[in-house]
Amino acid sequence: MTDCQPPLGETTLVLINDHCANSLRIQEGLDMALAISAMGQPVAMAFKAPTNFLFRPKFLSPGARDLRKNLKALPIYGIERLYLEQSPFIEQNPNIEQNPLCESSVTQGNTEPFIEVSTKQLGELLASCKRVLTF
Amino acid sequence: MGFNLLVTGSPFSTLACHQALRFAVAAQKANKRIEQVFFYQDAVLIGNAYILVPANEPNIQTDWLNWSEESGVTLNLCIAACLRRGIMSTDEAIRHQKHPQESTNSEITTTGTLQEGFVLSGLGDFTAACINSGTTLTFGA
Repeated sequence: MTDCQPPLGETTLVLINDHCANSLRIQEGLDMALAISAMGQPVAMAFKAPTNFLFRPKFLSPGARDLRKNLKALPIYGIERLYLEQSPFIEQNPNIEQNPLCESSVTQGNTEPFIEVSTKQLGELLASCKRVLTF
Repeated sequence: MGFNLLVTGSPFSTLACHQALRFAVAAQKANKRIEQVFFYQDAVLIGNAYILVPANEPNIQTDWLNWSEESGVTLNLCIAACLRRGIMSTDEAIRHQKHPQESTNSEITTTGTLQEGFVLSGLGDFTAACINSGTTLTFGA
């Protein structure tokens, strides 16, 4: 996180809560985050554990859009805080690879902007933001 | 400072529209102001002019329209979400060359599918209202 980022208390958090099978809902959540950012308001995004499969193309359901490029482009539009809830299912299954988005960030020596958080940390995050919009 | 209501759940398969309306009615009874109602995602289906509900079933669309008329609060539908789901005003239908119909004088005319009483609006309008008002509540699936 950079020092110039506004405090969470002023931030609107767009929470993606939905199953990855419905990529239209996720796309519209992204649109909302972009619109808020375009109005000069601080915005962050958080993805709950069920959406974790969104980042793994081989788990995408038929017809679902691969939104990884859209997500990676968010920092360009001023959305620099992206929180991913750790999935207990994935933690307990070593056969499933790490989240590719986090992997690529770590490889580049930079764990930002994708920040993995526990369920408890996500709860604290929701409590500390000014506004939470759930999709 | 009043409330902004963001409704995202479908009027057919979720209770989001019903719960949002109940909240709006209750808030106004308690002398709280509703600044804006914004329908997004599948909730925009409530603005479909061609919804026909059997006479013995509650009509959530009519309920919202009646509330809007009584309260004077505009019912905003996200224009992008509407176009994705085939809901458009006559102007939009003409622009996108949808629903052509032949009228009695053999001219090709076009009609929209947007129910009168709803307004097509953008995410920017919703965000601006959020900035200027107190609390935003989401009614989702």
